[in-house]
Amino acid sequence: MSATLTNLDILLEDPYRRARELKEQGRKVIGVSPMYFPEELIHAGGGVPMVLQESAEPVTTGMAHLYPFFCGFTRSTVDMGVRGKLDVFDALVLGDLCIQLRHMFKTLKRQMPATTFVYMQWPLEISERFHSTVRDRLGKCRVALEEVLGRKIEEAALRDSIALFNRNRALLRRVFDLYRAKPGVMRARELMALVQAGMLMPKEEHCQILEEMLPGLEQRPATRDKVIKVYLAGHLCMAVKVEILDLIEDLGAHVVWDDLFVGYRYAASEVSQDLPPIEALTQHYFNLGIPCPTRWEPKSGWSDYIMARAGESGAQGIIILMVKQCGPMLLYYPWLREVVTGSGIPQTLIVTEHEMISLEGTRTRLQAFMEMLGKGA
Amino acid sequence: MGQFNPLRSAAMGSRAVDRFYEDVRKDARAGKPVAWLLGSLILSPMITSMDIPWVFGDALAAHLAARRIQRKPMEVAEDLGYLVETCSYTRTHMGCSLLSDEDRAAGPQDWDIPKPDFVIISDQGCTEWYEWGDDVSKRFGVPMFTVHVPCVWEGDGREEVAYTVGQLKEMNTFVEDITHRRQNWDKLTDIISVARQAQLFRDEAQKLCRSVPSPASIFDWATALGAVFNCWGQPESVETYQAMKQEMEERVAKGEGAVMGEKYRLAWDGMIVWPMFGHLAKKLAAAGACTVTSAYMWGFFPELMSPDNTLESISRNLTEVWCNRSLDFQIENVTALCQEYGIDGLICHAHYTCRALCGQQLELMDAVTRRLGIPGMVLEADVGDETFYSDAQVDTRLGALLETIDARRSRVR
Repeated sequence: MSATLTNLDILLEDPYRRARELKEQGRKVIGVSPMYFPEELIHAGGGVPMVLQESAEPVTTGMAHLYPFFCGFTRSTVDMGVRGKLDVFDALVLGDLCIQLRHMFKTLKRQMPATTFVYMQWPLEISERFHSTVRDRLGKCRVALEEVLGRKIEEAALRDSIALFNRNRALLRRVFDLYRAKPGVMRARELMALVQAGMLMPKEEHCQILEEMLPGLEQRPATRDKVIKVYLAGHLCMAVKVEILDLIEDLGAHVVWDDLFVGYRYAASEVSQDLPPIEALTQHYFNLGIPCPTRWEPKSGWSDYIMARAGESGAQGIIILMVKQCGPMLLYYPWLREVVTGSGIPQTLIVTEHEMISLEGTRTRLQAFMEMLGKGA
Repeated sequence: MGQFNPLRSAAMGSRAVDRFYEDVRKDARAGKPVAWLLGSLILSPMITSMDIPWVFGDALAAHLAARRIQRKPMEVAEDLGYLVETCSYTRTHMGCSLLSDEDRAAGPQDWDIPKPDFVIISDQGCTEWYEWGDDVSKRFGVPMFTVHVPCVWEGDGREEVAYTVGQLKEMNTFVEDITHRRQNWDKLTDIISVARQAQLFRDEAQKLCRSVPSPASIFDWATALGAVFNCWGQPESVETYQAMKQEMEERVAKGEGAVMGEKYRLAWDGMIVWPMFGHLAKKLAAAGACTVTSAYMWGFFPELMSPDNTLESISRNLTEVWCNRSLDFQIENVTALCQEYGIDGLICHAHYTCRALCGQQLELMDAVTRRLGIPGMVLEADVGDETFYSDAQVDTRLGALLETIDARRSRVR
């Protein structure tokens, strides 16, 4: 298992390495912006979808194209785009869950004139009112993707892709269950690497890795006791820096639940295999399993979800991870803070930056938080 | 070198704002349901026509910032967890609405804003109104309606207009159901007729800025925004633009400019630095720089309204506003304005907490510079939070911009 995870770490150091290899083999590889575009559509047309990732490299040339008060993901992606690092993709599928992603799209479109762009404007109210809008727009994306991929996206292929992606999600959820139930069975950074790798390789390969890994993981006993149970919330669109995850665990915490995008959110729910495929993908957008602050969900919001899961999982504290300058998180946080504080569960906010100069401030904050939780236990 | 010479008539807008909020407070006290609008003012005629008082959150925040009475509401918001990177309009509006009774009583009357009975958001040009509206809806326990405006990036926009008209009808039903009031379609038609008159005066007045010196600057247009934002479709908006046009015509006849000693004609991109409004107007004028035109300032209500088709008119103005269009459209638009108004340089206001309306400025500046050869500068500040403003930065960059214009002129000669 460790060897597999080490291999995944290597992949994460160079996220689009697999994309280049697949291109050399003649595959069509398509970059997809986070968080909710149905990758199944691309897979069913013979393409390999890859979820765009923040780069570990500092933003350089991109500074001339997007202001520094944009989030790390959009700045980093624009930077990669203008430096030619996204040229590996046959097309980019970008959706605007927030205004910054929309600006990222516009900038990349001007700076990468040779690249094909497919754009998905999501309605951000989660209600029946917009069901047909999503279905129609997914239909248009399907047509655009067929042009890029050079072949029809057949219904049968789409059904197979949905089944494959569901299997992948189910396998990931099994890993999450084991991680949560058996503290120490694997590191949080390894779990995140596993999710992230799935975003960057063909799902068939990823399923195989998970299937090979799971038996060993199931046999492995828990290696940590007296842990402080925490819930990790937030961090949309991009992965948490591994140093922060290490810090959380090294300070004695164990993550009993999370809703991070490069985390449980990515695998939380399945697409129906009983409905016509486009209808199923449409329904999935409205039933993601975890509410998201980028979308207005009148019936049940993100704060309700967090409180329910924190209670069920026995979390002693909630760590809210916010990507600096993330608009949806900035605007949702005051309400979330009020709800969590009112519930009596301690919470702390950690703001993460693309250019992480020092971990010391975060360490101090987390240390104080863990001490408080430890005393309360 | 130069001197700021504001239009007297533009100040009519400021007086109209006070009357507007006084009426809102009076109507709320009389028991009328109150609407809060976020995102677009163009929806307000449909609310006004039902005799429902409303508060446009964005305009309230701008109003408080322009009067420099936004600091306390922002502090209240920050105490509640609205971080400084959060949209300063949201911080100001939410902070104002969540002030303690003691703070409100001790503060200016402008802070006395009636609570909402419902909230409506529309998302052209920005998505953060969803979260802002959600916050309002949760905190005040009121229902919310959203108007989802599709981007018009290619084509003639007819499909997007029709789609949005459908939502306006749904919105109307939502408001009728909540308030138990019926839409007054005749009154709505009248409001749109008045709005059209205001547009016509505005468009004619804008053309007068082709004169050298320009009879108005964007600071005049910004001053008049009060009448536009709060009295759209009301006689005050017509009176304000008509009076501005008349005063500008007089100035053109006399050769009098909005900047006495106009030497540089600049275009302004982005929103106004409301808390530093007068300070910046004087600083630019002192350098002989007149901000003649602005895609933002002139971009509200881009389509001439038609009383014959009210909902389509409203829909067109939602979908075809510049911030809902493609980058190519924005580049064409600003290039055309620069050519038509004889612009020497471009100031892009990078508003730190509003990523929505300045996100394409670096691309825009690059494109306009390549096409027309005119230089640009980035002015880093914010729409409502004065702590992001630095005089030293503005002085340095403005000086460099004007020197570049001088150098270019000497080369051209």
